[in-house]
Amino acid sequence: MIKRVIEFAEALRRSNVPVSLLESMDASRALTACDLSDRSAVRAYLFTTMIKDQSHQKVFDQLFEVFFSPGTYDHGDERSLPEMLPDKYWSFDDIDDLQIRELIKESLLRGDEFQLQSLVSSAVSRFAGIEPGRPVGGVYYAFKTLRQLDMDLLKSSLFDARMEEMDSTDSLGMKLLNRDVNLALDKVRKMVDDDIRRRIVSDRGATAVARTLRATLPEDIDFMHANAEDLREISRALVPLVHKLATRLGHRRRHGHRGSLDFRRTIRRSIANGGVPAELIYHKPVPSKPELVIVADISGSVASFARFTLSMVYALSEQFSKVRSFVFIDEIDEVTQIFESSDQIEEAMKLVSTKAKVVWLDGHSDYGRVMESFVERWGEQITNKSTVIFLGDARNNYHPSRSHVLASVRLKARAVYWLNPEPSAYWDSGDSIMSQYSVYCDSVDECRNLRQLESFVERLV
Amino acid sequence: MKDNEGKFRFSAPSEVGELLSGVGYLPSVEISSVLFLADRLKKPILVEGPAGTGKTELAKSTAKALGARLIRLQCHEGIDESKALYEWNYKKQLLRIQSDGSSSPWSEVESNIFSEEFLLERPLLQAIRARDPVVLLIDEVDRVEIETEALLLEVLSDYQVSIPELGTMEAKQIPLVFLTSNNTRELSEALKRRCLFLFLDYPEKEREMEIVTSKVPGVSRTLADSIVSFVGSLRELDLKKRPSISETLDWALTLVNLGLEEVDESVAKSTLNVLLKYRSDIAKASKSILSS
Repeated sequence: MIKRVIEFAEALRRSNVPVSLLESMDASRALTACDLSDRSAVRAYLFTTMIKDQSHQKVFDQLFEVFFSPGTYDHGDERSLPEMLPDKYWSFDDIDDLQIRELIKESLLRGDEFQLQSLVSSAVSRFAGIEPGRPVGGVYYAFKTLRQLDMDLLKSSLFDARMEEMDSTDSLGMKLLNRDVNLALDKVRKMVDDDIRRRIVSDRGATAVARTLRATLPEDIDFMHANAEDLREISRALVPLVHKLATRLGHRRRHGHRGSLDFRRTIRRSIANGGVPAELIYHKPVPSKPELVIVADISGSVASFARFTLSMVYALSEQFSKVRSFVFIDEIDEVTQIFESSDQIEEAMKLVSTKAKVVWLDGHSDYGRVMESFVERWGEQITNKSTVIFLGDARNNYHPSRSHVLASVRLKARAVYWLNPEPSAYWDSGDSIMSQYSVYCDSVDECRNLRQLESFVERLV
Repeated sequence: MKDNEGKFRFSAPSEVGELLSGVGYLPSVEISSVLFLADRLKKPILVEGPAGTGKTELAKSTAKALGARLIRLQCHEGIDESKALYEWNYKKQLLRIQSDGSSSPWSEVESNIFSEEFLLERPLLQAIRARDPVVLLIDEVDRVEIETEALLLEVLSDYQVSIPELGTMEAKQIPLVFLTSNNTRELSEALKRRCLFLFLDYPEKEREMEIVTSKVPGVSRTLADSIVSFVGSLRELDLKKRPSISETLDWALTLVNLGLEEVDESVAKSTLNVLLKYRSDIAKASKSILSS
């Protein structure tokens, strides 16, 4: 068991969850006081000793399922799931494929967890077609099973059945019912996932599966390869992250380095001590609040990156004297107004995509054209107080770079930064012309996930 | 571990559950197992979670269930040793020196004025030196500066306080310690390492229903069910302030007092202000849930 805990801790560390030696020792100690056949207790004990941040929970759960799913480690006493056959059937083979959905619906309605579990397990054996030894994470198997079960049909029949029980049918009741049904279906999905994972783990061993699982913390998810679910997770992680960052920056502002010596007041005060400057007085530090000008590429490939950067900057807008934002694809438009008038960043982003005029010709990014038009229309307003930040992958679709325009911006502005959401190894490959621009930037940073974005913003303020 | 079996406060997680339910706090399985473990491993518990999920209440109820005295340290920015640990009562020291005149030698006076008589105990020292059973609650620990956090470390890992003039004070007994945090700031690794972690989220539907039915007399199962699912659906929205457990209870009480048996749209609309405290939140909720 202790070996298992150590392997588990290593897998967590591989996913960037910090687990110290002390914490894994605590976890092992905790398990000595624990009834090992009670899986939820094992989970609770491991969680409380090894995890110290709620945003790590998802990774923990994913890996926990792999390392401690029933049947994959030595329990105190081996208990297999009771096979709960619905009445009137002799074995699961008697049930045909269509009926299984009907039976799942019935057990959901009755809240019969055991029977549901065994039905789901039977469905997985039938539909998933698991091939032993294949190094896959199981997503495909889950997809096959759920498709055969036909979740939409299950949903509508469950909905109808619940409807009949209800007497009132006002719209609020409908909505709440809908939510209930969705929760029930999520439960089935999770059971399918768990069951498949259990089978894969017993086939290939926990550590091997953990490697293919690629459990990632939200702040390490790559913006460029995030799917819809990942994006939701990033935005969820963004809120507390920004909150913490703001507290940290505010704290630094208040308690940071003191200003220079206030000579006049020091001498004035020293008169009280007969001319001995016993107490030194300093000027109050004047916080420098940069004026930000953000110029963001919002073409398809880098749109989500721009979205997160903009929402982080606007959430921290107190830290800056002024934030102006521009978005572009092959034409540029100012969107400062849109962001200032709405308090929800998501809504603002939607408005931006409908209202801003960012397409000129073909809707492929053209950095050179955009820079020229930017300088032409707003160049006057760039002063030595402005910090200009470009967001984009510098993939110019083989248009001319016109980097001399950026050089003229650099001469006027306080600083020019560039954030590129691509891994730095890919810069200057294909149509990326990062190096033609980077000579005119104060710094060019790779910014692929929240972690890198956070550290950039912190340096900026 | 066998030989000091009798010293533990709880014999099993289920006992924690019973004790807490006895004083009106319905714990989840997770809460009881963490509490049980904290007692076994002699470690403090770091409780995090959204506002209004009963973080502070947990410490209070535990104290009540154990019949222990609750010692509370409310943290705020700028809190320091003299407010958290101990302070010398210097006014009294001064009086002592003055009343003495100059008759006795200084070394004697010095050892006199740095004795326990002149020591003002602050919460942490109080908890360490208590002889009766105590529960120590360090509330909103994320409000203290990172430098001050270090003060807590000695107390939390070794259960002792060092006072230069008096030496090291060790705990008479190891108190149960709760730290709560609203997660406005990343706590230091050192502190987190020393604690067990407990995240109190909004309760699951079943548990919240139990809470509602036990705390609000006269609420029927069906009413509780629709109350809890309505509040649950509100919490899924992106609100400035999501309704907490206490607001669920307030709302349930409101509905019961209005003599209602069911939640329908007009009722929900007219009493939404019990659950939500911002105009923009109310508008958003009516738009996305109530309008059809």
